[in-house]
This record gives sequence, C-alpha cells and structure tokens, in this order.
Amino acid sequence: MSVEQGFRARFIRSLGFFKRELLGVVKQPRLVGTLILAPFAILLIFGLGYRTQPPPFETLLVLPGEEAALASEMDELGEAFGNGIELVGTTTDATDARSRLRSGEVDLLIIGPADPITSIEEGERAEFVVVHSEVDPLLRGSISLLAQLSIDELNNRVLEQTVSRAQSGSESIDGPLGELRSGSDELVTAIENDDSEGERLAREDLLQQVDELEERSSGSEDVYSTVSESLGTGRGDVFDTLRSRLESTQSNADGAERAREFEQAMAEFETRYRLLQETDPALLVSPFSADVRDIADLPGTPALFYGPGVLVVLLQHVAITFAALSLVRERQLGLTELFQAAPLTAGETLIGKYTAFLGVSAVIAAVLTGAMLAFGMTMRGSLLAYSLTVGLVILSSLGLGFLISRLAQTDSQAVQYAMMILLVSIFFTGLILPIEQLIPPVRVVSYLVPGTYGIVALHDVMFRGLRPSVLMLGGLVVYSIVVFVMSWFVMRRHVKGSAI
Amino acid sequence: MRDSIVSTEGVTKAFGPDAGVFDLDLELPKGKIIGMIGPSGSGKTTTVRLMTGILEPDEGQIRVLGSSPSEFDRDTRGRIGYMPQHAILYPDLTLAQNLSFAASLYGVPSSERDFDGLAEFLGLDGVLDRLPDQASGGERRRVMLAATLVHKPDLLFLDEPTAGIDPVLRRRIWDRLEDLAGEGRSLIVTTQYVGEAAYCDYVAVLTEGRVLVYDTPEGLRRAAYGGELVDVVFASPPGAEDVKSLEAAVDGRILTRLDDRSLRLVVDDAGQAGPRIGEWASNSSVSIQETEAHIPNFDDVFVELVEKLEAAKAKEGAHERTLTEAKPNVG
Repeated sequence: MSVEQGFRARFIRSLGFFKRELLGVVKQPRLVGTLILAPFAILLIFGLGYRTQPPPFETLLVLPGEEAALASEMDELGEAFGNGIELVGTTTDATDARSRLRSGEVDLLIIGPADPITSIEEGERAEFVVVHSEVDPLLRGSISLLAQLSIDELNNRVLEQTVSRAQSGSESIDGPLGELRSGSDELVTAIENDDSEGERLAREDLLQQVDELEERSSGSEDVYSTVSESLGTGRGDVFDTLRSRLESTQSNADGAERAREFEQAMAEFETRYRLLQETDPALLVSPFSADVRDIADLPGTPALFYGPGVLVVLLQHVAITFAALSLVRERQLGLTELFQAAPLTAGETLIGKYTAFLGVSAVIAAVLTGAMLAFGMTMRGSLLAYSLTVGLVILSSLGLGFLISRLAQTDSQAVQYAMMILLVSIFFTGLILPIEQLIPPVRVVSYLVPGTYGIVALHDVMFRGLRPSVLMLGGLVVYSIVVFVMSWFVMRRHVKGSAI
Repeated sequence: MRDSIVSTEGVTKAFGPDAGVFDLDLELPKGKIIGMIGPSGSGKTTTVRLMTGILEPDEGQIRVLGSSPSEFDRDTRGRIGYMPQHAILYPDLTLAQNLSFAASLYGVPSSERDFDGLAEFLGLDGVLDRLPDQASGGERRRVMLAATLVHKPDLLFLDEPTAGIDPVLRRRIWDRLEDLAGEGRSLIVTTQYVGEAAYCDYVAVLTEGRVLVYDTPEGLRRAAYGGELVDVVFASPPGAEDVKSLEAAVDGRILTRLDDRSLRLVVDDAGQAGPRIGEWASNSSVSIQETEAHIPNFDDVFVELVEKLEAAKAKEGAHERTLTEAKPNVG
C-alpha cells in the first residue's frame, strides 16, 4: 500500500466514525431538539422569573407586656426593616407567636425588650430578638444582615431625635449671646479708657456669661464637636478658647486687640452654632454615605449573568454524555470485537468521534448563543475569543467523557457519572457560587472540571470585553491535551490498534 | 505443513481450570474451508479470537498469514475478515449504513464498495434499507457476512455463521462459502451443527477446549469407527460361526447387528469389501441378499468420537491426549 493509499485509508476510517456518530445524533431529532430547546427554555424561564431580592419575610411583632410600652419603637423597627419584611400583625403572646412561626404561618418574629430603660440604666443594651426558622443558608444570611441593618437604622433614629432635641434648645442661648456681645463692647471701652475697675467688672461679667453659655449649649455643642472630631476637623473646646482669649486681655499693652480676638472667637462660635441648628439631624448622625459605581454596567436582567455559565455547563454535560455513551454502547453491542480485528487505530477512531461530537456540540452552542444574544445577552469581547473558549470547553469535555467510558460498564452508569460531574459543576465552577468562596484546597476540585475555566473566560470576554486570561485559556488547552492523550490510551484498549 | 495459512503450537488460553482452550496444535491449509465443530463451550470462539489477535495466548505460538496475531500490521489485518458469533450492528443505522461503516473500518473507498454485488451474492436484495430490528435473524447474519467480505479478504474467520438459521438458508450460506473458497480464499468456520462438517475440506472437532480430532470429513468417519462401514443383508439369519468367518474374510469386525439378518461391518476399504464378501459367500455357501457401503452422518460420527474419548479418559484416568494426531495428511 502506497503512502497516499495509506493516508486515504486513514481518512476513510476516521470519516467512517465521523459519519456514524453524526448519523447517530441526527437520527434522533427529538434528542437534538431537546438538547437545544430545553436549555434555552430553562434559561428563558429563569431569566423571566428570577428576582434578585428574596420576597419580604412575613413578620409578626411581639410586644413585651400588656401595656405595649414599646409599641411606637416596634413600629419604627418595622419601618426600619423596610421592604425586607411585611408586617402581618402585632401580639403580646410570645408563645402563640412562636407557635405560628413553627407552623410556617409567619417567617419572622421580632420580640421587643421587656424593660429597655432598666437595661440601659444598668449599662446594657436593650435587645430586640429576631426569631426565624429559615433553613436556606442564603436566606438565613439575609435575615441576619437585615436585622443588623434595621437595628442600626433604629439606633440612628434615636440619635436623630437626640440631636433634634439638642438643636431645639439653641434658642435659649440667644440671651447669653446678646449679653456677651454688649459685655465685650464694655470691655473694649474700659480697656481703651484705662478704666481698670470697669475692665475687671466687664471681664468677670463676661466669664460668667461664658459659663452660662456653656451650660445652656452643652448638649448641642457636644454633638457638634463629636461630629467635627469624627470628620477630623475638631478644634478643641470652644469655651476654653473663649476663656483663654478673655484672660489674655488683662494686663497687656494690646488688651484691646485681645478683646477683639475674643469677639471674633465668639462670632465663630455663633456661626458654628447656627450651622448646627440648620443642619439636618440625619446628616449629623450619619454623615457618610456610599456611592457604588458599577463600571461593568451589565444591561438586562440579573439572570443574564448566569447565561454564559449555564451554556458552558450545558455544553460540557452534552459533550461528556456523547463521548461516554458512544464508547459504552459500542462495548455493549460487542463492536469492540470487530474493531480489535480490523486495521484500525486509536487515533483514527478518536479523530472521527471528536470531530463528529465537536461539530454537533458547536451547532448547539451556536444556536444557544444566538438565542442568548437575541434576548439581550451582553457580548463586549471578540466573537473569535468566545468561539475559541467554547470550542476548547467542548474538546476538553469530550476527552473527559471518553475517560468516563473507561469506568462505566453500562449506559446508565455512564449517565450517572456524567450527572455527578454536572453536580460538581453546579457547585464548584462558579456557575452559582463564586469559586473564591471555596478554601484553596477545595478549589482544586474546581479546576478538575473544564467548565470552571470556561465560565471565568466567558465572563471576561462577554461581560468585561477582555481577552480570556492566559491562565484560563491555557488551562483549557492543557486540559484538552491531557484528556486527549488519556483518551487515546483508553481507545487503544477499545480498538487494540498498535499504531497511532 | 506446506502452504498452511494458520498454525498453532501448544496454544493454551485458560479462563479457569476447565474453561478456555488447551494445548492447541493445528495446521490449517490455504484455500480451503476448515470447519471447527463442537458443542457450546468447546473453545471454538476462543480459538478464533486467538487467531484474529483479539485474545492473546497464555502459552504457545500462533502464526496467521506468516505473522503472530499480537504483531499484526495493518496490511495483515486488512487481509483478514472476521465475523463474530453474534450479529453486531448499530441498531440506529440501516443495514446499508452498517455495511458502509464496516467498509470504512477497512479503509475501502466508496468507489470500490460493491454492496449491490454482495447483496446479490448473499440474497439480500431489497433488504439493505431496513434497520437491523426490521430484518430477520438470517438477514442480519448475511449482512454480517457481507460486512466481512466488503474488503475482499484472503482469510475469513466466521464464527457460527449459520447459528439460529433454518436448514434451507444454512445450505445457501454454505454454497456461498464454497464459492468463496472456489475464489481461492481460506475460510475458518465454526459451527455447532455437526452435519455441516460435510461442507468442509477439513474439520477440527473440539470438546472441552481440546482438539479431539482434526482431519478430512472422511478421515473423521474413519477415526470414529476405525475404518469404513459396510452393511450386509443375509438371506437368512447367519450363525455365529458364519459371522466370524466373514470378519476374517474381509479383515474387518462387526460393528453392530442391525436385525437378525443384517449386520454392519467395519472394514478398511468399503469399495474392496463388496467383492470379497461375494467371494466369501460363494465359498461358504452362505446366501447374501445385499451388500452396501454405509456412510454414517456426522452426528453419529461425533457421538462415536466423544464416546471413544470418554472411554479413553476412563481408561487412562486423565484427559491427556487426543485420539488422532491433529495434523491431517494434506498437501
């Protein structure tokens, strides 16, 4: 046989497997339809029905005693929970409330503190107890976060009221301020006239007025000072400043100048004080806010984020199942015996099967991609990079499928192994949970599944418009080569060929 | 043996103490139909699998087309056709598509595939468009045979090609196999039907993984009975002295009495025995009504051989030898 005839025979053998596998799929239109339509329908329904926020928890407020002393606070707490809860009632019967929680009639109980004043007087926080029976870890986390945020909100409201009361007390300092202004004029006049007695009397009077002012404005000024210090702009005790300015006016050649400085300090105090009066108490209590800017700016519904992941996991599952079932069925039919007697090599067999399944999977990928784009999926990166990534996911998954066929003795075993990998993919590839949340030793499992590389790479390409990272794309290439070589060894047992 | 296409020497492949083949010595000549006959579990399929390289022997050596099966190159594999015991077809492909796949396994280009000729040769016209489960068992077997022939092999291993097929169709298949042998191909055919030994040029009878006897069909009969058989019908019941005298005259022995006037003799040459019996009758004044050579069917031959083997085993207390040398005098 000439070299040319040899190559032609090789090509014919690979083509034989290619046609066989292609016919095997094409002859099952229902299967092809299911493979394309079912995942698309799943994606669509998920996209239409998915809510980023969980539904509000149906909540019952439990008041601590017959008198319902905390009713207004409880109502405020309910408001603080915002849209996170839906208040369905108020009760003073804690036992009945717990019973309703256990029966699933309500989702949450918020039980107020029995005697908050006494608790605070004893130096302890008054505790609101939030009770739930949720088992979903995500919802449990939501409840804890919601409770903490709501209590913070309630505490802020209390602070706001305190600040507001402090602001309302500022009118009573108008009198002392007027006294200080006229006393200051008298002091300047006495200093300028060298009237020592008048100067002394004026200074003493002013010191008394400063004491009076301090006493009247103590609450408000404290709030303002605390806020100023929190902002890093605090300037010490204003009343000490006033007193020291006043002291510096005596027995000095430039006493009149010092008296004017006192007037200036007093004016500053007044300005600050007026500012405090006009400032929204909520701003004083919560001076900082967060402005989250999303430069990824993904359009469409949040569910679209899961599109690439679902596509990758689906293609991976389809390719694994195709490959595994192909070899297992041939073994079950007894075709292995024919192959082992024929002039057939593992390489020819693998190439035929790989190309057929790659072709079928690529068509499925193209249809699903088109559908996703039609429904608003973002594609910011290059279509070539996208196609390369998808192709490598399919190739590596096919190799994995051929390896599975080595373990599986029957169709059902092959399907079970494929399903196990699907389950691993759901939890470990980043499809739903970020793989960064896995501890490093466990994360190794993620990188044993080709879908992990594919999902990370497609997120980069589709959502960020980047090239796939060398690590992810290189990982897929290496993965594909390794499983191809291992599959070749598996196939050698299948066809018993001695040559490549 | 000159021109042997397959030879085995001391080949053993054991799947347990009593399963497999043991100490197989065979020389299979080229261009002939060699039958391997034996009951289920006698080692026929294992022998074929060893010869095609699907299995490797635990001991001994095999040469097929001049090569060890474990070292077959592509060209050698391409000269071999193998039909497994069961119809192995993709259920989702038509019979024609299955044939096409079989042709591709051997690298046969489309232009060189003569499916119509094969269909005509094997009586499969109008059948190939069906799926396997729409075809009869006989049609599936013939498609398997066609798949074995698509690359025009020099040597065919056919594992029970007539299993489960009605006698008429079996006969047709054997006609086709004889045609193939007539084209110069070598065929190694296993069968459970002992009577099919008659279609073979040489027959190896296997039991319990060993070759009981390997010879031509005629040689098998001789091996079973120790010679050829002649039925003698007397005009009146012969006496014991007459029978003894007859045995001495033809240098034979009585095999069985068929009735009170008839008996069956084992002689060295049935053709020569007739005239000698006539001469003995004239000399001894015994009236002979009829003398006729008896050709036993292979079912009887097989039973006789097995009974001989069991007698030998009982005598020797061990299953250590075959009844005849497994190398026929051919070529």
